[in-house]
Amino acid sequence: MPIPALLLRRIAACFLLVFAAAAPAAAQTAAVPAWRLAEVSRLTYEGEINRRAVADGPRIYFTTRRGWIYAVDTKRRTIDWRFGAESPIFRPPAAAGGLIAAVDEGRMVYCLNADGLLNWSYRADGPAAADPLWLGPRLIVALRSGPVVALNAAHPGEIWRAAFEKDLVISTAIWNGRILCACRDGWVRILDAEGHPAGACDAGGPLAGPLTVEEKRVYAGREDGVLCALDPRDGSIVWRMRIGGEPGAPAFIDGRHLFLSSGNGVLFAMSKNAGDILWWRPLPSRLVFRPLLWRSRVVAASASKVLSSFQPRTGLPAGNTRGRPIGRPTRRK
Amino acid sequence: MNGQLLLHTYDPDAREGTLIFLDPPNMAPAKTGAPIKGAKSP
Repeated sequence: MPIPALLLRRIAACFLLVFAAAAPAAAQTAAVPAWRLAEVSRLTYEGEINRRAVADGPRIYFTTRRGWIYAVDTKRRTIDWRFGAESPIFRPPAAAGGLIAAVDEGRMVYCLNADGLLNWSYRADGPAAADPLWLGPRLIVALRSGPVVALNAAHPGEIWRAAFEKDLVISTAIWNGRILCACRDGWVRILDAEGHPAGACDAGGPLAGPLTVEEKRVYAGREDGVLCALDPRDGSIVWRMRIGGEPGAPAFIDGRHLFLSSGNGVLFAMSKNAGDILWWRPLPSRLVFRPLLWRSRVVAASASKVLSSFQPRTGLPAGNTRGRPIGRPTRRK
Repeated sequence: MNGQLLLHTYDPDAREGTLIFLDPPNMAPAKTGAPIKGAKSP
């Protein structure tokens, strides 16, 4: 059966459109230098890492979604031990001073020592709403059922609990010995080390994504794609800037610059003082992880087979690696 | 920020993850380029 002339023209038009769209992309790809990275060694483990690893001394600790807590010696590049939880784990652990804590989806909280032995376990009221955090001898866990609880590092049991409405707290962070609780109602509420209210900042809209904290500033993303710089000392907003998406991971701060990957797959370099966007670059995937500055390059990982790097001051491509699946960079300390 | 870069990957078929220790011995320092207007060096 002959192909109608109109259909033939449509097919030709489609090819032309594809060619026209592909040509600039090919030219852009060719301009990005290859980034040669030599593999030193590799380790295998069971399951997928939950977002990031946590460093404490010469080790990093991470959890996997299959319910394992791993300790890896980064100098010897060996797995020192692993601990199996009762249920899957969906959040990274907390590690400080030789204590490692993790929360599983079965509401169990585990506290391990540096040898991987269980100090104690504790059944919470509900699953965790945020990643667990150490604040001195207290393990801070926000629960989806509402409260933020402080657990004793020495033995199982609560030291205090601060009441919040159910599903109000979405993320927590430690700031100058205090606990910042980012809430869905647009407030960042501050608790002191004893769980008492110690201030609040109004971001002006429902919050989403993780907090980024430094000495005098906290950066919080809103659901409407606005990034806010807040001063937790007086509760004021320092600046707001629309970035079009919520933060996909905490920002990396270097001097006066802030590097942030948003949940819509864009890497931003911003002025920390005024919030000006200095440059932005699209990333190959919307599932992004915390960027970092490594050997004079901004390294931006996403759920893609390409690990991109950029020059920190101009945003020009500094090199891509290809040919192997790439995960999330973790800086060894 | 120097030191070693760690990456991790996941194979959903094997349900296995891999932690990769990388080192870039042949990498030249990135050119910083001309500063953009309004930008201040870190």
